[in-house]
Amino acid sequence: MSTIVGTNIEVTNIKYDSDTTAMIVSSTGGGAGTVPQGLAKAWFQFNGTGTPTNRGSFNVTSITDNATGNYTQVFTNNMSDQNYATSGIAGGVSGNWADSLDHMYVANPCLTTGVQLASSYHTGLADTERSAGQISGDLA
Amino acid sequence: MSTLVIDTIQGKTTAGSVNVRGEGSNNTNLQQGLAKSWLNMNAGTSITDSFNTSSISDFGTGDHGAAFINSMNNTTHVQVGSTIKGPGAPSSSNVGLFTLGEGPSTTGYGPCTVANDTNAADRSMVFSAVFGDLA
Repeated sequence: MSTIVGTNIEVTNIKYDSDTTAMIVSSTGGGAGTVPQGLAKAWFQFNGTGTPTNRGSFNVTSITDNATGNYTQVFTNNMSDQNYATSGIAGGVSGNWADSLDHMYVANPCLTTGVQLASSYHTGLADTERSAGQISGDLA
Repeated sequence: MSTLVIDTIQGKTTAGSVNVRGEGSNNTNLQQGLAKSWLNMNAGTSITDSFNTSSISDFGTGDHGAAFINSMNNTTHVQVGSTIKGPGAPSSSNVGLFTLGEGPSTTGYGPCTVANDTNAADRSMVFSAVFGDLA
């Protein structure tokens, strides 16, 4: 076991010493998290009205307009399997958050290449002006 | 096993970018994958726990604000969240839904909650996380 103690380190790449184990990051409470498991593998905020566009994103190469309130976020680097976790929110259909019932959910089983999302308002699918989500899981 | 004990990791080529080998053969990015802020609060009145959150505001029923300690670089950051349902047995009138207030800014966002399609509602446990670029 080797220990390097310092204040700052500048690196370009971090690769743990085994391809089968994650790097442990100690936490303030004395427990530990892991890199890369603890990193979000993709995130996106998009305008789903008209031609859908991602305002901001990470590891997403494009967004596809499948139908009203139905989109596919296509990953730049694929996930390793379909068992990843996604969460997200939708808003802006009514133009007033307080009387809206916007929500977003996964429309079809997740794919390694992307995730298909549906957004709805009250009881029907609807294009949302501001939606956002994140992906956690294993990269290919 | 090797242990690196340090306080700061900074990119060598680009200060704000460090590649991390993913679970497979692809690389991901350390800075981009980190949540830049998270919050566990009670209806905009008290912070239960948080990271990079300086304060919260209660503008009205279900209408809350959260301010960052360190600002974001732009207004296109991502907020995700959830909330506990209202008191009592689950019903169509006491669901807990997380929604966004108007206009997220570089200094904060609006973690708001509603109970149904016509009523905003306070919820005792509201959770949110923010991804994007720090200033």
